[in-house]
Amino acid sequence: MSITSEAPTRSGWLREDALLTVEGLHCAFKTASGRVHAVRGVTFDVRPGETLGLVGESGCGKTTTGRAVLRLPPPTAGRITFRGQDMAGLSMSALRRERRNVQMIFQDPLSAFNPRRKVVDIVGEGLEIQGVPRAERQERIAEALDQVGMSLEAVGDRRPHELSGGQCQRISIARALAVGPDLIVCDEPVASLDVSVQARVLNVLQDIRERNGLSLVFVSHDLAVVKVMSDRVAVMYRGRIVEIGPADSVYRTPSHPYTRRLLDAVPVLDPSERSWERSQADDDAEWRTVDRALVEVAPEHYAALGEVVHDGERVP
Amino acid sequence: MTTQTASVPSQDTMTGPLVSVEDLTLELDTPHGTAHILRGVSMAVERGQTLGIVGESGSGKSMLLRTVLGLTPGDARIGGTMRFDGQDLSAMHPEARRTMLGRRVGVVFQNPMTSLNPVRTIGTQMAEAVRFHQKMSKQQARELAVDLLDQVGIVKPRQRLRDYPHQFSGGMRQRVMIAMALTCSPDLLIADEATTALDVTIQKGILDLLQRVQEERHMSMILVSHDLSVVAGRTDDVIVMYGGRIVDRRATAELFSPPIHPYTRALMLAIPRLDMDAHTRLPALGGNPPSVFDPVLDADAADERDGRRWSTISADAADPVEFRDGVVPTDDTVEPLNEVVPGSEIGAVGTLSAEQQAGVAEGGDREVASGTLFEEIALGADADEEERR
Repeated sequence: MSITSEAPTRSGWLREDALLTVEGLHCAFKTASGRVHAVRGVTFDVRPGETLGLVGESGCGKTTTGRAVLRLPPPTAGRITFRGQDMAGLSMSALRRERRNVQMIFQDPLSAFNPRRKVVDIVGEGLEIQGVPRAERQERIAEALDQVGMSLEAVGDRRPHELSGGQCQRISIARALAVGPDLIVCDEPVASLDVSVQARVLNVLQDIRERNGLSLVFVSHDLAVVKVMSDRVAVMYRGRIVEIGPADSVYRTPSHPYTRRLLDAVPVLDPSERSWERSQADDDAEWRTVDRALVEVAPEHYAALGEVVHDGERVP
Repeated sequence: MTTQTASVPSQDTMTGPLVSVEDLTLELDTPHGTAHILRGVSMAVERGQTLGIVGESGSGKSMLLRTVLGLTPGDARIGGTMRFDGQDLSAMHPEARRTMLGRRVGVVFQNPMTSLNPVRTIGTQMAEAVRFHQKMSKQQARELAVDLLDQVGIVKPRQRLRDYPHQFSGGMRQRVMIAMALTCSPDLLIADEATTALDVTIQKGILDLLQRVQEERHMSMILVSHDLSVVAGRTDDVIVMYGGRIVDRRATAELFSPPIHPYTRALMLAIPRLDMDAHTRLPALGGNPPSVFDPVLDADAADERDGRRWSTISADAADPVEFRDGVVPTDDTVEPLNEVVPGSEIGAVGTLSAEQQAGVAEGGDREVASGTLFEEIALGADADEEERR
């Protein structure tokens, strides 16, 4: 197992009743030009029924973080606890069983589907792997499709290329839903969709979350999308979380200069949506304030404005 | 109808709009039948101004531009008139037209990787574009390329000329595309979903850059996007397209001024906003856009067939989601759609006169126009295409 034993101890700000706890997560990849540290010491937790938005630019490590939760691939270091169980310690078969409870929705559903399979098989594949009997399978496929506003009769025999982008993404949600998970990691699920289709897919996600009491880890570069989806938000920058807290608090009073830069870049219809001013000082401060400890700036709202830290020792 | 006359180019080519299009139609033959891509579009791009074109996928916004640029398939049937700087494009020989537009129009597409040749260096590709249209030595072309890359914010441009497209990040590639579009000092720059695939911060950089070069060079610019918030604040005028037609047109500054077109409003409401609460349900457009395969605008049960799309929008109009005070009008300033669509006169509206259409498109009398227009849209709406296939 590549997980090291020196994962940081449970720190004060992680919550006891969390469904998912990620502590000191590190992900490094070997590339032709050396090791790339995509995620450098990320700590967060998600409560049952809560949605955590992971937001940042391309390359900030948000997708890697989301995937690491499912061990896709396993992290280099750090501890991931799901329902009190250490995900790193699971055998391959135990992990496969556990994945029934943690599912993922990918950005590009077309590349996540086998183009030769029918919708009914795509949605049912997870159930098949879980060993659900055929008769029950059919029922659960119909139910999952129904939850995303589609009917088995209408789309069951179609193949992915016959569906629109929005429909594919709903199929993708149905597939994740079919196995009855507690947590779904959504990786940029609406990044390639039109605003009108995006609204529909977001609403479907909200509905299934509410109806099934799901927790979501919602990964996106779009801060406005993250805002309507999330209870809490973690802003990632260069492999670290630079700000994390209740969504309202982070958006109303962004404390880290990088968060302000991100918010500033969002195109808005109405400029009065912005409640803060970004200054030149922010530009200067931004680069100096990445590798710093998180300090509490408001209740449950932390920003990387503390002591300078080195990789691996960043949990406050 | 003063704006109507403005879209007809005057004799003096320097004073009329740079691009004007009148009653443009486009039909394509496909294995599924004839696709009616554009159904009578009239619009104009003024000199030195920026026009935003907004619409959902399949609304015809990209095809409108491709038709003007002559990038439609050979068997396309095109009707109506198109003028560029006073010249009738449809009357020109395709070769002459391509040579002229190639030099005077620069285009930046959504995916730079499909526009760039992956096995040739940026320098080679830029020099090629320059030397195709202008008499220049290789050395001069290279110097121009260095200068342009510098202008679009690429560091060490001389060195980067030797790089291949894959060695640039997405945002940098898009900057290279803009530099290439500027090589012939075009009169018109078209950015077709140029920032859709980019992150917010990179998107802002590219939009700022486009705005800067447009202002510096006094070019005309067309910004195409599915996202109204991208064109808001960066354009002089906005056109909203739906089902191959222009359904709303207004000065960007008046985007929020009543009466607001219910479809434009529906598009606005579908955009997530920073001031929304967690778990807000967005008023999504129900149903489906009209099918391009519907040849005539059959009035019968239009709303039923498109999955009650317009009923959905009208419901939103009657019960608007709260925008900030004074930004989006309250419902009493909007003609509720449900008073318009199910009207008994729907059948009669199927043949709108050219004058009516112009009134709608030009927004001369919007209060009336939004009514007629919605009937028109409802007529164009088609059956739930997904269920039909």
